Amino acid sequence: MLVPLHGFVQGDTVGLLVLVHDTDTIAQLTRVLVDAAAVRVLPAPAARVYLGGRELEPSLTVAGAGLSALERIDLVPEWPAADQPADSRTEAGG
Amino acid sequence: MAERQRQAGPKVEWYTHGTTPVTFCDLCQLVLCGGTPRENTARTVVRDGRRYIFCSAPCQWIFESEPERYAAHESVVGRILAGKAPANLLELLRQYFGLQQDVWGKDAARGEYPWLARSEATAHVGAVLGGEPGGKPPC
Repeated sequence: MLVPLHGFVQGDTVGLLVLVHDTDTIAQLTRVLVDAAAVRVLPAPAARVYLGGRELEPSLTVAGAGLSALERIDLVPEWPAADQPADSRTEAGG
Repeated sequence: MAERQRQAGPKVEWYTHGTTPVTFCDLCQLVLCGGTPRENTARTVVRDGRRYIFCSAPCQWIFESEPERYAAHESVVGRILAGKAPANLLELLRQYFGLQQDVWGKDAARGEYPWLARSEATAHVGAVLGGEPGGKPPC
């Protein structure tokens, strides 16, 4: 089943409507969201996904993480210290 | 919705750089632009089995003060998901919002908006306050 989600990527200027399958993993959801925002936000090698301030394990499925249609998720890209873009900031989700 | 996604495929809708649909507040209908998590005031509310998203606490408050008023309203995102509006952002701008190539980027009204017309009374006040007639009052 397809699950539409409101995704917000740290450093982006708009929220994005992304579609994932409920069997997709959070890692796959991360890739979809990173790709969708890539025109504005430099893709990071890793990222953390938050639901209501709670970090979601990358190995969980969308359904397993308790995500349902039109929920808000936040994505915080993670950069190795040496590669950190000048305009990026470290912050927790929530 | 699944069929539309399958037909669209990658690089056409949903996943294409810059064409993924943006999200809108279910009350004010402005694009959700909170950005980073710490400063993002967007919040979701479930009412009568339907999940709404609002850009801020004030929009949520306005909605919850009069929810029946908005119950039948179909949001832009709702229309996209129902197949009533294109998911491709550029097509959404072209079709749903009526932005065509011959007018976008241009001021179709050439600046002649009624709400910009300065009334005689306003011009008089400006003159009394020491500004030029019709000019900007000093502040």
